Amino acid sequence: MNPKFDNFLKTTFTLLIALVFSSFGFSQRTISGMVTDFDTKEPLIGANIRIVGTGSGTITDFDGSYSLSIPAENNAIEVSYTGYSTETIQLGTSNQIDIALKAGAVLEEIVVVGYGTQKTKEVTSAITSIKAEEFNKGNVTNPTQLLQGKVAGLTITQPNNDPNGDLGIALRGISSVSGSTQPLIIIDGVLGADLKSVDPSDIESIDVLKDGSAAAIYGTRGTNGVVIITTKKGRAGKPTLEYNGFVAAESVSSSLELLSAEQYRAYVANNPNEKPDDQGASTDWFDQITRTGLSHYHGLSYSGGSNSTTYYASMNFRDVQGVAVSSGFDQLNMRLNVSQKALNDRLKIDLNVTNTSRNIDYVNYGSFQNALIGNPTLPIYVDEAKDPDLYERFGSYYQIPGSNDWENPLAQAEQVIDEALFRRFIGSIRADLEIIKGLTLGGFYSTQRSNQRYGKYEPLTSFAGDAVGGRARRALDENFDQLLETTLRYDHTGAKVDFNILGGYSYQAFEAEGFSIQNLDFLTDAFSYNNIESGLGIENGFGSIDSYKNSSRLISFFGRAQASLDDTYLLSVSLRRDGSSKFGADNKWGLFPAVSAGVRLKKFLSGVEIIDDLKFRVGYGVTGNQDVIPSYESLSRYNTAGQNFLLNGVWLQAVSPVSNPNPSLRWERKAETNFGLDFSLMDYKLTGTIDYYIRNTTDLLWRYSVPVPPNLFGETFANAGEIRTSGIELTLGTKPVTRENFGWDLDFNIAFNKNELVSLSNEVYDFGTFRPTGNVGSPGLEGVPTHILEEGQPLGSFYGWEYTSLSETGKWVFEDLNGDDKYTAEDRQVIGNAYPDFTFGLNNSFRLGNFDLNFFLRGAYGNEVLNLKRLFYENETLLPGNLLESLFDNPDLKDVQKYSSYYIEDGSFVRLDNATLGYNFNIGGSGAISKLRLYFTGQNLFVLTNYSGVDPEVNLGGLEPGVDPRQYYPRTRTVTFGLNVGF
Amino acid sequence: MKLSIKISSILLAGLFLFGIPSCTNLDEDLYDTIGEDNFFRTEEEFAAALGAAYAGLRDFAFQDTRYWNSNEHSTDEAIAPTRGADWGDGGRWIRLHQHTWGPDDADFNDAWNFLYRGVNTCNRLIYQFENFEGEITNREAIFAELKVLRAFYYYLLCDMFGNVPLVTQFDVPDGFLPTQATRQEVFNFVESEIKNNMAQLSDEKSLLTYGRMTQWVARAILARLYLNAGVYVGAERWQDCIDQCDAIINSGKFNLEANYFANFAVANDASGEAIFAIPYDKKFGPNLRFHLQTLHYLNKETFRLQTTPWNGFCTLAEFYDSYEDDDARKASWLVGPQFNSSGDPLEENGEQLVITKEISSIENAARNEGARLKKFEFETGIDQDMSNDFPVFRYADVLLMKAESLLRLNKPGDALPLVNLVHERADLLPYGSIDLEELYQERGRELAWEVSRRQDMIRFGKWNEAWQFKDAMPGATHLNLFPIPQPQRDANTNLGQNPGY
Repeated sequence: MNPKFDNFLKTTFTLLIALVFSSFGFSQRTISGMVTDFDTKEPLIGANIRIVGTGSGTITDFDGSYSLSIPAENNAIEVSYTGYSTETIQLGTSNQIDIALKAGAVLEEIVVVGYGTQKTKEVTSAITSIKAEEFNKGNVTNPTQLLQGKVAGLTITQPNNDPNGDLGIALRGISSVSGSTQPLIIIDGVLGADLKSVDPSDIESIDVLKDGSAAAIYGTRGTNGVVIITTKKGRAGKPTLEYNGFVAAESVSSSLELLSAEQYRAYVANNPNEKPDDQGASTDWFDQITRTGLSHYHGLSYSGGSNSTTYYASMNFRDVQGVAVSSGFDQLNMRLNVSQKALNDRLKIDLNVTNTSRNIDYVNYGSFQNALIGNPTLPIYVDEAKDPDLYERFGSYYQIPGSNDWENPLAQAEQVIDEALFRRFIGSIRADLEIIKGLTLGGFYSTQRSNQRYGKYEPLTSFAGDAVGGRARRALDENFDQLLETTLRYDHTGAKVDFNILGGYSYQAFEAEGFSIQNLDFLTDAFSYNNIESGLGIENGFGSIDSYKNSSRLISFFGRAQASLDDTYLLSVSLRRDGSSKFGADNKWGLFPAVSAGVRLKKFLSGVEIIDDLKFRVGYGVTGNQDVIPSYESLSRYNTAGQNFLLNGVWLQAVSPVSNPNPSLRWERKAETNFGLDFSLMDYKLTGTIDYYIRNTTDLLWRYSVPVPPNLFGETFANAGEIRTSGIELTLGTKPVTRENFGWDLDFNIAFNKNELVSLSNEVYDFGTFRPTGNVGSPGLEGVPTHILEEGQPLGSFYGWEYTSLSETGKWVFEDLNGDDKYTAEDRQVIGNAYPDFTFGLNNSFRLGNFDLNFFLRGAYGNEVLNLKRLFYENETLLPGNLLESLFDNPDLKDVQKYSSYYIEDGSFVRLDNATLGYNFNIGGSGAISKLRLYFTGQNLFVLTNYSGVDPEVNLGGLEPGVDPRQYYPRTRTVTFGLNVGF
Repeated sequence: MKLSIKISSILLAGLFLFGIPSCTNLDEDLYDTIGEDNFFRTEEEFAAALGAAYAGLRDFAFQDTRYWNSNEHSTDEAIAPTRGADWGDGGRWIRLHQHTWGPDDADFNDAWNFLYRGVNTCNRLIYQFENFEGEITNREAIFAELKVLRAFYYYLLCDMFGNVPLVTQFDVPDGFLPTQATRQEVFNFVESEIKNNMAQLSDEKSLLTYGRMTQWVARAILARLYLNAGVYVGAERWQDCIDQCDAIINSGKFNLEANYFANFAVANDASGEAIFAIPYDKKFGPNLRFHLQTLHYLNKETFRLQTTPWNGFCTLAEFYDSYEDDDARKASWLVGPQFNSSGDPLEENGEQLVITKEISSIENAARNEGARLKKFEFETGIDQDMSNDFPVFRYADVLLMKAESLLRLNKPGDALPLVNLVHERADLLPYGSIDLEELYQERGRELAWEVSRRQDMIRFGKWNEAWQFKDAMPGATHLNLFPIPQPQRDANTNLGQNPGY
């Protein structure tokens, strides 16, 4: 720390103390003691101790001990700790006061709500709070993974184990046909923060605002729920230095069973139509492009502080190898969180800075498809003596020149350079000033900047580069946003009534810009993508240059009042007025009200011993969704792109409109009603929550068909239509055993959800009553839809022909609905649905002495999957490409590949997602090391399912969910060995 | 202490002030597109706006627009058979070929959108130019050009769909849903619009007028309109067709190229035969992709293409056989053993690739089956786009149109020399006599894949007959028109369906 600044702090601090104590005189005594967990007797670090009747106090240090000066006129202290019930202790004569706090009194826990925090017992909306110790363990690279399966109703799907892939995240099912289910992410107050900017190990807690009444304070961005991430902060006391590290090995757990070279030879020998080239080799292409991926992670954090200044600094490095050859990333993340109190604790300033840089090596998904269809009798490399020309042309890799559907997958993985550098910076500062008692003025500013530097080079000897003389691409994309928020809040704590009132203004501006260049026809591979101007492609009209820039603004006013009467009757009312530059001129601003109320029934059930607490609550809120609206979509705009025309022998640029303007464009509007019951039974040994909700989304955004003429284009981005979803969520937590040396925690959650597409039209925009969507794909099924959107039916419905049998000649027999002896479009029907009836998670935590064991099961029931790999690669028509071994299960089939219910499979599953065994060493308090823990974690240890493909957990986003695609990445299993050390 | 108060006050004040200037302003700032208000300020911008009317024409032969697909794959000169796993595509190619299409077939909706985008662009430009406050040079000529171009789009709409909305306004009220006009009304509109505006058009044939509406293009549209008038409105207009052809012939501005293939060369813009061609360019004017659509995958090596072709479109064996062996135009088609650019055989699975004229099945053809188009010269080394221009109206077509009209008026003696001009150009001996059937065949050979065949088949009564892979459908006259696309009817409830669908 800068010595001058340090001096300044010391001076300020001393002055502050002087100020505080001058008002109380000098008559006082000092008490000390320890704060521990009632059950485990472990010390509680950072517990709050406040002198009742004053604002002053202290917190416990690393050993759980404290020391506090008490003025003579005070005779009670209040001790509180997150996750424990608060105790008020009357001071006797003794100066040694040890306090044991009871855990599990969740009602005293603090949850983060929009623009503030609330005690769990006072919450009147559906909010789930997950603390760091409950997070998923192991080789977690994306913060979303921490939550997978932990929050009832929050579906997180990882369609594959690509370390650079994204996870699908959806709260309470689908509420939009435009496909956006991404919740609003808030990291330490930064709205719309990038999840990849926070390292999982820096996260203290994640709060999920699920229902409309909680999310409505975020207006047009609240529909998909709000995920609030709070990072770790420093605590006053002895500085602590902590090291976390692990090594992980990731291997393929499930892949496709393909014909071996011998099986393939035998199979094609019996096939009259195809005589594929047999080069005499025996190649397992899949094996060639996969490996055991070794990853390691090292994280150092340093935190501490005084009563007025606390800090948390961390530096994390991770190097992740994917199971695909040449894929993975390494990432360096640094964070500094500093909190400073001043002006007699009336001013609090928080400064958070984080910077992340990630080097990415992308996997080529096409290489997996080429490994799938690769003829196993082809060699990997060319025999130079046999064919020196081919050897030289493709850099020793075997290729089929001119092939339209296959290239050597190993060459794809090894020859092509495809990489990027991501850099993200978030800086924020918050200042809260207590003007008078209870009235706080807050200001918050944040800036977020992320950029991606992309480079790709396909060498002269690569299959793609061969025809074009090598191809290079560079791109630079940058996103920048700034957020300014001011709030004024008044808190009143009284004997009967507690209330607070909040008012605020929010302004956020976004900018995105970038450019890219692609060139080809290079003399040599030596430059890679670093001398892009040396290619001749652009001069000959074959390269491309692109650039773009766009911006948008969001401006909001919001207010909220919360009240609690007698600690029994609870009420919360909020209103947000949200405006976005992206909305059409007729609809720039929207109003988003919410109201929720609760009643704690304990008071009326005082005789019932078994009940510790029981709260019924109901909430209603209106939110919006505007993620999918691009900037400028409401305006009439012109562009030159692709619009050249020939005049007098010279090509000139023409200008024409970009899209149909829509001055009425606005957000999707969701109204949600939520009924909830929170309960704690048997001395908090059983706690739980039940929620029932109904959500109605109207003004669905979509590119609706409009008549041409009068419109310029056949589609206008507009609002119409309605979706209704409803569901039940249950969360249960129990503590069957809570002994000093043995503890068992059991947590369970389950969520049911169903949806209905009520309508897809309004007075202006008519979608028709049904519309097929999706595409089974080439070869042969290009333009054949997979799904249907139909009024009155659920979304995610597969739509095709119902398989009944094979004919004697091996032809498909489907249900012939109109009886015309042909299988036409009229014979299609709904043949399945991709969404599960319910999803669940089950967590078991055991603690035995110094050992702890945790295992976590997660699953879904009733979801169906379209297995496109089987549809295509169990069919001999796809020769000479390789086929799935499972084609022998249906040897009578003698027909071309067709889409039918035959390939729709049950995708229900139970997965042992995560199991961790840890050991905490007993370390004496005096040594250099204060804490030492070792652990093993296994991820994706097994899956129970009837699904015959690689994995039943496939992408559930968008309008065509539940498709197991042909371009894929294998499912993996990871074993991690880790170490935590505290100094 | 005082210092920290100061700092925090400044900080908070700063935070507040930052927001105030643009506190509630939600106007959008445009960077990479042009707002409506910021355009039409200079002569160049004006020309650029006008160019949009022509740039959109390249969708005429673009695969995604499907105008060409609808009009050619429904005839006996084009086919995209399913080849094993390829080209099934939900049966759309087979439905087109076998005339079992319906209103939901996306090809028609895409073609409709292409044609009306053209109409709307003309309407928009006429409206914007009328409201332009600056000086416009050649005002009358520009309006005439836009109106004739719009009439060209309406001629194509009349031909494909017949009963379509006739919209000539751009500034229609909100929620305006146009009503359908009859085919007769659309026909009348095209005729009168061209006649009323023709005089203001240029009568040059030069680089300046290449690819644009001239008097000669206007006459060629009218000639085609009159040629098909019997089909369109049930009234034959043979003499009117002859008059328009004569005007073109007598202008002396056009001549038959000595070599048929000069019309389809990479640099075919100098063709003396081109009355109206749509300019394409691999660099500046993309979207002509015959090489990808028709060539075999391995032909990538023949022409050293950057992109692997798709092995799709070919012609029927019976159409291929309609050419005499001496007919120079038979080289329009690619059959036989295939070689790479160095002359070495192209091999597939160890054997040389041989393209056959025969197609064994429309549902499961082998990869090497079907004669491929090569009358357009394939430039070596190109990527997705060709630089050849697409001829819409050629002088040879005008000669044959006139000859047909004469034959229809029972003047075979006058028709014969016109047909022979075209026939002899293909290195063939002149006909001694000519009848309608032979003229129909000759049009097919001369104009293959130039979007004339569907009109010819309907006009000559062949449309409901059988050809390879297609059954006869006697009396199914409703197929002369394509259905009004279902999405258009969904979006505009004023649109009725064409009879018979």
